[in-house]
Amino acid sequence: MGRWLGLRLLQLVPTFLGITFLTFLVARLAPGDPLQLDPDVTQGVTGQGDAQARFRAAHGLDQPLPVQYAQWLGKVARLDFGRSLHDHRPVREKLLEALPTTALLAALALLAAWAVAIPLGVRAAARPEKKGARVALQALDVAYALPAFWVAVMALLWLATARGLALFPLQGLHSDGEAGLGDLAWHLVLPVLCLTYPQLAVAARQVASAMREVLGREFIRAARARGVPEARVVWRHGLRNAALPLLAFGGLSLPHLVGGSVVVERIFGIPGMGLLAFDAVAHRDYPTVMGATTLLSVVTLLAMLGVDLVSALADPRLRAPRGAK
Amino acid sequence: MKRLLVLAALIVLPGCKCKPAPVDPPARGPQPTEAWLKGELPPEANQGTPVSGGTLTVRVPSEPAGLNRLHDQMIDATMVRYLMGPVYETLAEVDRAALPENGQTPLLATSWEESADHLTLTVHLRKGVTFHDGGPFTSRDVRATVEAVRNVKNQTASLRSQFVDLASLSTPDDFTVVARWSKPYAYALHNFLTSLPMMSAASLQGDFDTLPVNRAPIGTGPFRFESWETGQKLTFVRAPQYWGTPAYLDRLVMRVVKDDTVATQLWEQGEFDLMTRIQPGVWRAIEAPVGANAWAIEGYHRISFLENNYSWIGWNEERPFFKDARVRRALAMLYPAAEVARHVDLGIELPTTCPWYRLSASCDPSVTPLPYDPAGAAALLDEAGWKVREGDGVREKDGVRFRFTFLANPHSVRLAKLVPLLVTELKRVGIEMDVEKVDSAIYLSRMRTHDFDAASLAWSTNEGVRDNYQVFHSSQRDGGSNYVGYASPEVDALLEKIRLTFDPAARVELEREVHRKLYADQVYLFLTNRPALDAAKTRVRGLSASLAWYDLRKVWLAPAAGDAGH
Repeated sequence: MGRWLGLRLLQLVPTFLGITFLTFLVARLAPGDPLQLDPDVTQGVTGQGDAQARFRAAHGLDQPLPVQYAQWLGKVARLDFGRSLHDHRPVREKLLEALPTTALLAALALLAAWAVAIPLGVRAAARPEKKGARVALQALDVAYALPAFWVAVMALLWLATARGLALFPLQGLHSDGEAGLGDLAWHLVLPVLCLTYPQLAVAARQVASAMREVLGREFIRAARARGVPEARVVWRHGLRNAALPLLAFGGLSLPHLVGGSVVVERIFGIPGMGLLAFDAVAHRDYPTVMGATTLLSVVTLLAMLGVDLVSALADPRLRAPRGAK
Repeated sequence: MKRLLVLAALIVLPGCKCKPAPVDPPARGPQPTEAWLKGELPPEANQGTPVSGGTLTVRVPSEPAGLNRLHDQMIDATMVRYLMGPVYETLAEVDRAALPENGQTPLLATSWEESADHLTLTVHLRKGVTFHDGGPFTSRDVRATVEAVRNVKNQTASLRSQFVDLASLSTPDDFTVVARWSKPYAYALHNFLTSLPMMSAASLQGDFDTLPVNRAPIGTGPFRFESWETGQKLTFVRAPQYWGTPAYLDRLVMRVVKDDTVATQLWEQGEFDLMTRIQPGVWRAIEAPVGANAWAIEGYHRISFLENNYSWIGWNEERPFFKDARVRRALAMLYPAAEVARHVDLGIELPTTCPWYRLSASCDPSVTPLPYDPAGAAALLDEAGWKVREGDGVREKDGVRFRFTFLANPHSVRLAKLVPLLVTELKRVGIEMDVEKVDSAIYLSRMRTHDFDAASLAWSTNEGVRDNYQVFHSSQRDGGSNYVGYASPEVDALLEKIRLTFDPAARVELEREVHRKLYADQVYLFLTNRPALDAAKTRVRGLSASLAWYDLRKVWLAPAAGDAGH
């Protein structure tokens, strides 16, 4: 087991290098300059080209790309993501500022999605003859097709504005001078809703298909034959055995925790990872782009590893390296 | 509910014509006054005995990268407005009463003398001034600030370019500063006294990009920095040690709301005492005298004032089709100004022909705009040798087809509406215009390197005067702001002369001549001046709007009785 884990961890290294190097190249080869001054700022300036050149030299942007990538890698190994080229703050500080908000929103959305998807999916699989769950699944498909920017704006207009119902706040995560949990929860409702609904359709279908497969197996038939109550068959025997594929699926949504959503963050005025990365790209702020990508790729890789690990613990056959069966 | 849908449609369809929403059945509401419609503050808004206390919450549409006014990347027009005066002080400030003329009133300097040859300026500093961190303000701080600007290693190019001819700066004692210039420059005194925020020598120690004051400024002004929640708000509080008349407000809160739609919603909920940058569509929509607009008509004063800005379309004069001024004149005659004013600008923007401030004497009133005249334009194009070719109907000269690309910044809603109108007009006379959209990071680099055929931009400044040397002098094609590559020996000579003319009246004459020549040459297709569209709660007093924005030091809040609704 230790050997297997060691090997898997080693395999992550080239994947990580591949992701970050590609991001580095794409970011650097895209046209545009990190020093973008407002035209009004430069209006009175003679020798604007010199300012550009000095900026590039001062931040090492004039060196060959492989050298710059190697330098970046060297720093990242020491957990130093460098400084933003836009506001010159440490990238780590910027990431740590945005991360908790994004993680909180995404975790709540994930929980909410599963809280709805599990009962719905289980019911759809266990009682296929009933219409209710099927209709609900189809409704979720329709919801899935609605663009997030539209839903978020509509939610704001209908539920948060003075001309709508004004049930929820328009912006941010807390009211002025308020730090209470109730206030935070009140602010979280709409953004979490907007992050949850697109996940529902997929999650519920995953649950339903995993359950359908399990419920068709022999041990379920055996349990039913033994006279185990149906609710117990479905919820204990069935769901427990469907847990593995669902865990795998759920594990792969973990990167949402650090990815953030540009649309939801922008519309609800929540400074999270999505906006951070989006603004960094717009500003050609290479260190921040790389910092956000690194964080996202590390979490994605670890989530994948975690999923494999859980599957391996549950199924010894998977533990053996390929070909050594 | 129907109103809500209309509002939703306005927001979801950014391309709509955004006329005031049709109202069903006209439920009469409060009638806006003449002053309210014009955006003028009524006299009572500046009367009464000021009282101390309270918080003023201002909507700001942008968040600066930092709060160091010297740093090129951190300067942003809004940040300069709320930082300069309230938090940082200059040696002298622009005389608001004299605007748009150059005038200075003492601030951190008590007096100054300029030598007859305009090469030496002696400034006497105010005594007893302390920074927010308790340190005294002396000539050492003036020197440190100037040196920070002059240091080429620092990203201070925008201010540095005003001080390239500063030969030396000496500080004979703690409260005297002597600046010597290597050559005379008409705006040198004004720039030296009014553009440099005085920062303490101690706060400028260290790596310029990462100074602590970039996040938490330390000035000498009546407000000191309190906190900055990234992406949310900046807070300033009254500084107890201020040397002058204390500010009335306890606290200034700059709420960062970048999205205009969201800002409008928050404004309607009463979140801002001072709402800024109201969208033209909203400005027009709230004019309808209906109950649904009562919150705005009764609760707020609308404020509209002319800023020093103008938008333009530039034709790259390196391109064969744009070399000839006759062609550029023809293009101006094809611009559907009336249609744009009606459908795009909703009658809010003011057409201009002038690169100087509209309300200054520098614009020559005798310059009349070219009329919209497609037939006349076609004749001019024929005269310039651009003849319609048989077959596809596209004009051609010496084998070059009149087909070019308009470089568009996708963030401009106005351009997105305006450009298709222009495409249609040009097509009618045999000119093909394609549109290329690129993001801001690329847009400006391409303009700077003249890698465009046609593009649009607006120039703006917080000052009443501007030295247009860097924009129109032929030497500024490379490295300056002469993106279109305009070169005229006469205009060059005039611009040079303006810089050496110290008599304001004589300078105005020269500037008018430049205005006439630039318009005759159609250096740009001059578009419009955009007025500021703001609104303040009726209880906000002492807001006298000028080109230099509001003087937040003099703003106070009337006791809250009239504010019960919000």
